[in-house]
Amino acid sequence: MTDILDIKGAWKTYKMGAEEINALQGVNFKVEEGSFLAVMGPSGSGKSTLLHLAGILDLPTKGEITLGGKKVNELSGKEQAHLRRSQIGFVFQRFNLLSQLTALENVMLPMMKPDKKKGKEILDRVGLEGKYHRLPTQLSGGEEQRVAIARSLANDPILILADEPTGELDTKNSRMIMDLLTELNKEGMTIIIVTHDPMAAEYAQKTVQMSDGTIYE
Amino acid sequence: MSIYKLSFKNLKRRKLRSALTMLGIIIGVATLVLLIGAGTGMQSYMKEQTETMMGDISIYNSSGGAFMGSSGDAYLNNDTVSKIKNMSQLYDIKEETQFTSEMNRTPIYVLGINNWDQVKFNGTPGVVVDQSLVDTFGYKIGSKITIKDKDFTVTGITKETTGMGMGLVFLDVEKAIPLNDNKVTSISASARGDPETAKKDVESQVPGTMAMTQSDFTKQIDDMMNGIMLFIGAIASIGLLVGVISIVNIMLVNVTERTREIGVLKAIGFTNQEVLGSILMEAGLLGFMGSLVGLVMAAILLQLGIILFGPQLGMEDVSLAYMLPAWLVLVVVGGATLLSVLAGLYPAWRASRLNVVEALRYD
Repeated sequence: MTDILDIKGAWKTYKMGAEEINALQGVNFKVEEGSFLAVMGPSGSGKSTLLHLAGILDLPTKGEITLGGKKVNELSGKEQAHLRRSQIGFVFQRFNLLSQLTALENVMLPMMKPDKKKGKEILDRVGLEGKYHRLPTQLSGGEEQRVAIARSLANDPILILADEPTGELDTKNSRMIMDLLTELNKEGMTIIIVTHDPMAAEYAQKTVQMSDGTIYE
Repeated sequence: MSIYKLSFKNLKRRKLRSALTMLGIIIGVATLVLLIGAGTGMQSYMKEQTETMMGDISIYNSSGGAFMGSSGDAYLNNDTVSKIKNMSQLYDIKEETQFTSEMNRTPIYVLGINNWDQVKFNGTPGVVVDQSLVDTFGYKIGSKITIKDKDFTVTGITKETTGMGMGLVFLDVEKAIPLNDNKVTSISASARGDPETAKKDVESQVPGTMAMTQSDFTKQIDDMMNGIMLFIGAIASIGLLVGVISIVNIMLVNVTERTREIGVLKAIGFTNQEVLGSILMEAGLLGFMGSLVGLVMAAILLQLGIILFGPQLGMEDVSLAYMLPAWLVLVVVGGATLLSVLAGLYPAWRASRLNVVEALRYD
C-alpha cells in the first residue's frame, strides 16, 4: 500500500505573547491509501493542529509533509489551495455549509467543473434524494452533516479529513454519519477523523492517541 | 456554482442591507445624472437652436446689445442699419427688436421677430401673446390689444414666458420696429464667404457695431455651460462619494460577519485571489446595480421635467436623448461601478489575507 500522507518530524510552534507553545513536537504520521484512522486525545493535545497540517490549512514550523506524492512545503499558496481543492475533502464539526446556498449548490461549490448531475448523484449517495433544493436551515443536523460529506466528495478527493464529525450530533445521527464514512472507506476512500467520541473512534480501523503534541500509537 | 455566483447570493441574502447601501449610490448617481443631464440637454438644445435659427452672423450695438430695459443708445439706429443692409458681403438680412412697454398698466416685453419658427404657439403668426396675458385679461385669438397706442388683433397664444412676471408679446418685426422708434436690437444675416471675414468687415466698416458668428455663440454656450456643469458636477459627486464610502463600511462589516464562511471557502480550496475577486465582485455589483437604478430614476425625473417645464422654456420638443447622451450613461455607470470596486479593495484584501485556521474558529 502506498502512503497518501507522510508527515515527518513536524513541529508547530505558536507565540502567545512572550511564551512559545509547541502544539506539535516532532510528530511522525503516515497514512496508507484506503485506511480509516481516528485521532483521539484531550483538548490541546495537538490533534486538530495535526489535521490542519494534513489538510494543508496550515504549514509546520519545522518538518516535512508529503501529500499524494507532492512535497507541500515546496508549493506556492495557489498550488496549495489547488491541491486542497482537488485532493482533500473536509468535514467540520459545525458542518459549515453556506447558509445562502441549497444542498445541491453547497455540494457543487467546490467543483472544478460544475456538474449538476454529479452533485445530485453524490447527494443520493449520502441518502439525501429529493432534498437537493433545501437550504441548510431546512435540514436536520444529521442531514446537514451528510451534505457536508457530499461536498467533501465533490472533486473525488484522495483523502477525507473530518474534525469531530459527530461533535454536534445525537447518538442516532452520529451512528448514521459514521456508517456513511465507513461505507465510503469500504469503497476505497482514505479517511482520517479527529474525535473525542469513543463511539465514533470504534468505526476506524486504527486509533492514534495524542497528548502534548506527540503521538502514542 | 462558481464563487462569483456566490457574490449575487450574498447580496440577496441581506436584501435590506444591500438596498440601503445601494441607496447612497442611487442618490449620488441620480443627482449627478439629473444635473449633468439637464445641463447637457440645455447645452445641445441651445446650440442646435443657435445653428438653425441664426444666420451666419449676428450684429449688435458695440455696447453689447439692447435687451430688457436697455437705454435707447444700446440699439442699432436707422443709420447703422442701412449701412449694414448695404454691405455686399451680407444677404438674407433679418432684423429683430425687443423693448418693454405696458398693456393696461401691466408691464410687457415685446419681441419683434422675423423667424416665427423659434416660437411655439397656437394660432397664426403676427401677434402672439403669452398665457399670463390671456389669464389676466381673458384674451383669445381675435381679441383687440393696444401697444404704444397702436391697435393689434391677437393671432396666437404661446405658453412661453419671460419668467419675470412680465407679459410677453411677439410681433412681426415690421410692426414692432416703428413702435420702438425704428430702433433695432440685432441683425442676423448670411455671409458670402467666411463668416469670420464678414464679422471683421462689419465691425471695421460700420462704427458702433459688434458682430458674432455662430461659432462665437456656440463657444459662448459651451464656456458657460461647461463651467456651470463642472461646478454642479463636483457638488453632486459628493453624494456619490458618500455612497462609495458606505460601500467600504458595509463590505467591512460583511467580511467580518462572514469570517468563518471565508475560512470554509479557503478550506475547500478557493485561492486568495478567488476570495478577493468574489468580494470585489460583490462591491462592484452594489455600485453597478445602484447606478442603474439611479440612472433610471434620473431619466424619469428628467422626462417629468421636460413635460412640466418644457413648454414654459420653449423646450417641450427636447428629447431625453439630448439629456442622456451615451457618454454620460457610460461614464456614470462605469465610474460608479469602478469606484465601488475600489471601495471593496480593502475589505476584499482583508478577507483574502484571513488565516484559514483562525477563520474557521470564528463565531
